[in-house]
Amino acid sequence: MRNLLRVDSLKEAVRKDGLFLAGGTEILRLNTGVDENADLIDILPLLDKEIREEGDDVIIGSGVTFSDLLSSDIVPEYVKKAALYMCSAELRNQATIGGNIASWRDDSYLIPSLAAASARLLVLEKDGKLKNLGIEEYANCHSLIISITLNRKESVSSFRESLTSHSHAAITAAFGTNECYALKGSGIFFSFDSLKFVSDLSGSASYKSYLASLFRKESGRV
Amino acid sequence: MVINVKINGKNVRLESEALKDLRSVLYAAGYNSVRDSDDREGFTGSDTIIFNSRLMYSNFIPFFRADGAEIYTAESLLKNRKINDVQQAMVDAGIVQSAYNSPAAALILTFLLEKNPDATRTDVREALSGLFVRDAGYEHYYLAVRLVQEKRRYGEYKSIVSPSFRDNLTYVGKPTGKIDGEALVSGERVFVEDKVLPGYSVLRVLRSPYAHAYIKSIDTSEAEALEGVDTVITCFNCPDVYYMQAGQGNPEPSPHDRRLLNRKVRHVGDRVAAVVADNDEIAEKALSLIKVEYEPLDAVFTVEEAMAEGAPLVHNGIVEYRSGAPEDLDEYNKNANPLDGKVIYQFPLHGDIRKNIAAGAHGGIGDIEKGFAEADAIVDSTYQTSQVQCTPLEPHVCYTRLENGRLVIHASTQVPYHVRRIVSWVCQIPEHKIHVIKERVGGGYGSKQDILVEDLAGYATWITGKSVYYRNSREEEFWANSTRHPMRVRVKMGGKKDGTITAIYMDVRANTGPYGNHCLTVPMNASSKTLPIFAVENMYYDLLTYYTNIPPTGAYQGYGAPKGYFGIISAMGELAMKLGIDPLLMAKKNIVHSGYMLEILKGLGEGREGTVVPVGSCGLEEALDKGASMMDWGKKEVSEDPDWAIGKGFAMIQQGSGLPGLDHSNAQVKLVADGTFLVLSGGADIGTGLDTISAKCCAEIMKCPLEDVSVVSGDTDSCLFDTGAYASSGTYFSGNASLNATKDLKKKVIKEASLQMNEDEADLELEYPGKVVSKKSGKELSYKDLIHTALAGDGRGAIVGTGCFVTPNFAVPYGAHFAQVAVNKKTGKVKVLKFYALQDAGTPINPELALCQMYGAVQKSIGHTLYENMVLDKSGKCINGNFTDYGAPMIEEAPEDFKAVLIDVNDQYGPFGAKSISEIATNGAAPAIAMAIADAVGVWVRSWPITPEKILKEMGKI
Repeated sequence: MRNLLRVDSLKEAVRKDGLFLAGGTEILRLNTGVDENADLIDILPLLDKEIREEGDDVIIGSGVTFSDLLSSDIVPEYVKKAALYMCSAELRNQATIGGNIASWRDDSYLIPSLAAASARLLVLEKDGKLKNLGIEEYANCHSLIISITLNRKESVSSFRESLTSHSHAAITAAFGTNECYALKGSGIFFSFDSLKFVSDLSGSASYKSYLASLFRKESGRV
Repeated sequence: MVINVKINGKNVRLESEALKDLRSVLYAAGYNSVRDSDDREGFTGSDTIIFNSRLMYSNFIPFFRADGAEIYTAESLLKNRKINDVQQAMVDAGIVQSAYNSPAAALILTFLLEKNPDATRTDVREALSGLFVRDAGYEHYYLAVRLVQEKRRYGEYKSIVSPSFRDNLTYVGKPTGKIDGEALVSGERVFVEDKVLPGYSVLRVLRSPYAHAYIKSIDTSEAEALEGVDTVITCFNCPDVYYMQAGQGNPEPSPHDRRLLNRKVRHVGDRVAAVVADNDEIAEKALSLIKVEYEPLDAVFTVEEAMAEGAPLVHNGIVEYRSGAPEDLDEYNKNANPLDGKVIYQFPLHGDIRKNIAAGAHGGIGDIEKGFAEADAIVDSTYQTSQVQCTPLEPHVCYTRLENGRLVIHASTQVPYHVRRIVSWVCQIPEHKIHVIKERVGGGYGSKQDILVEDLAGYATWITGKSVYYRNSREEEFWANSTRHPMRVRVKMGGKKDGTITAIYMDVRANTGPYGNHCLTVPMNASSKTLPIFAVENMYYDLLTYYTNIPPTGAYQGYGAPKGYFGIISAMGELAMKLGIDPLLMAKKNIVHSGYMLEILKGLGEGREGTVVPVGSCGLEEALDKGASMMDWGKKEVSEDPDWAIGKGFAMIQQGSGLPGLDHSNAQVKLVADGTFLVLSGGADIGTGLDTISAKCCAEIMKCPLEDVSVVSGDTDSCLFDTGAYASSGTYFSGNASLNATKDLKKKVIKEASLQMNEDEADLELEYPGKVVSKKSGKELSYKDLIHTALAGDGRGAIVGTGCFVTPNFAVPYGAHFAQVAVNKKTGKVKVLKFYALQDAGTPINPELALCQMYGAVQKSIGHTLYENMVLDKSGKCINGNFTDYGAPMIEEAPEDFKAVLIDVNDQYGPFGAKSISEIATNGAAPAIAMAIADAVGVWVRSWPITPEKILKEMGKI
């Protein structure tokens, strides 16, 4: 039986046992594999929901929704392109940036582009300390994301191949300073050489392998 | 917890659990437009609300978060019970059909136009990006927005909603809007779930984890001992009655091969036990306490596996025949296993269950070998179609209760009278003890032709006396709902250099899954709806249907025809390519025209001898010519992006209008005490506008305002028998019954008027708006006065017209669908750039609804062609039982240039010259798109879905 845990601060939230509830589109969605019995910690009211500029950097609060991203004048186009991979307007109105990154989906909309752009995550750890991490460093960290920092001048090209607009993508790949791949069934990868392909509903391993090579080539990386 | 929230402008106090989904709370609080179609998947948008000025899925909003929020639901759109201009435009545009999420759509579009009054097509697409529409397609949503914009700007619509037909008629052939459109778009309580009264029990089903197993024992003692559990039904205590869930005419051309629950489970998800309990939590707990001992068996999943020598037998029980039993039946049953139960054929279907064959048929005309010998080229290809799901937004649902000792069934069904019959069999009670009320149906598409839930719920109520509510989860829809039969269609076709087709051979192998629902008729359709479009002298077909252990199959809009067309038109395209001629020229050289005798039909009669008839009204050639012109056929298009190749394809198609010789419809029309009318139609309007057809028939003949007519339909107590809404029978059969009933009423009204007016009947005629007029004396008598006198103390009684419609005559719709696709040569991705559907529907009685049904059917068939596919794992479990994984197409998948065109042909037999419209529209997309892909990149993909990966493989890229 799930319980709702209310907290007064994010520091209090990270000390609790449970899942962080922000937009709810992952935690409350059917078949996401999250623990249906885990308590939910309501963090949405406490999250940073602003998008601001600092020099060439754009800092996006983790409570910003996909729709907020799209309506912002200062969010780089490569991030907006990635946000539009989430195809439903209703979902974009609800889903938060932090939630999408934290869920670490193998068909992640945002992670490949953010990683390719060398985005930095400001996270709050269980001990109450803030830490600045790269996307790759965040893997399996489970710390609470406070904000995402991007460089507006980054140049990122991204690719996504899914059967329909709403299907889980077989592959989402992005190329900038870094490269990053979300491979359905396999996970998130930060180099071409580390890619592992498995066959699943989204396509065969050889299909995904072909697309990964194709996209890398199309990006001009090889 | 308690929250305070502002809903639709009013402060409201709500109480629920903190983490309860807001949708459920809103629905329970009376905001019943907020529905659920996806069990919190975030896909269909039926649960969309405006939450703090944003459109959101209420399934994802936990109740506590609504504290202090401002919410708008579709109920907010009504002012003094009047729908707003957006809702009106939706009704006018014809998109309010099965309408389960029409209120949500209205809310979304109203919100869009508030924020952006000049919303463009792109804006509309974006706004509807999270709304799944299965019935009417998306094209007229754009039109509805345009209509609103025009009305607001100019005070009237400028765009033409649809063409009009038959200038001599007032309502028929005119876009009037559905008579139930306002109720549906406003979110009235019209669906089964809305009828459930407090105090009901729930029914839940324990389903098999095995694809094939005997049930050795079931221990229900702990479950039954649980407080709040009323009863547990298993194969050991259910009636020993064999029946068939397919809702077909009695005797059915499907074997009775199941009981309510069986000793043998035959697919993952098959019924094992059913629990009636006070609530869901208790029922769930009870299911977990049931102990089942299985004896797992090897399973077969494909036709090839079922055909193999020594294959496990899905049914190996005793075979019986109600008629036509073979002489060696005792010998045949010698080694039957009683645990397998029985397979009872109503008449021979040429099945052989010891070889997993459920049914078969063979036949043809001419000399097939001679035909192939005369050919300059022959193609012989095999096409495979996949198992696809109807995915109605409203899942299978049923509410049953007792009233005055009778069983009342609130059903979402296409076949209320078959429901009554089959439930009476299962409960072993006479049919008069059962009252089926067909509520509004939130999507059927064939799947609600089968009695998949009413049998169990009805029986549960009958034995317990409890009111019972049952609703499939979305996952159960995939596990235990009927689906399209997967088929292997081999087509051998020979032709001459001049384009003459000399011979066609079809070898159809259908996979019926665990039970034989529609096992003869679906595969027969693959030939009976395809071969008769060809004026070819030599044609032969072999049809065999196999039992396997996949999830159940059954009827799906188009029936067997989409599979047959995928094979036969693709083969024609391949043959034309091989001969180096234009496939369109080949088509035109070989199609039938009015008057051509359809000898091929003789063997294609649904288990009986078929009737040879000539081709009647036929707009096929015009559809081909017009479509070719619209598509600029013959002109090779070149993409500006070198990565993309463009190709064109087409298919000529036909269907039927009901089943002449088998279907039967009845209706009554009553002149009500104030001179208005009530039509009682046996026909089941499943959102398609059949009730509007009945109303138009009445208003047209009785020369009264359409608003003076109400329709009650599909209620087995109030209305007379009708075989149901399937096989494209609604307009032709039920419509004709309403027309005949009205004609009968007209005679009776004239007769009564002649007595009241002292005039000869021959001098009397009806005049708008609702009166009898004497041509001789000029005297007038309003219907109101006429019926008042008839019902007075000295009157001659009520005036009721009764009509029946049966026929040996066919009213066949024809059409041609054209597709233009772009294929990415590097990724295999396909975009359907253009799709033009041209169809001859005779006189389209509701033209705007007809167009939307064409858009909806094409969108569905684009889905099964390119995306949709139920995937089973090695154990037979469907592993993509949700919308996202399954691949249901949304607005982004709709062609950007999408046109539906009605070819004007007047039919001899249909009501006011009408023929059917919607099923045929599922037949063209697969072959047209396959041909277009081949035209673009030179490869034929012969299996559904035609995925990018398959294209890349055919192109040799992977």
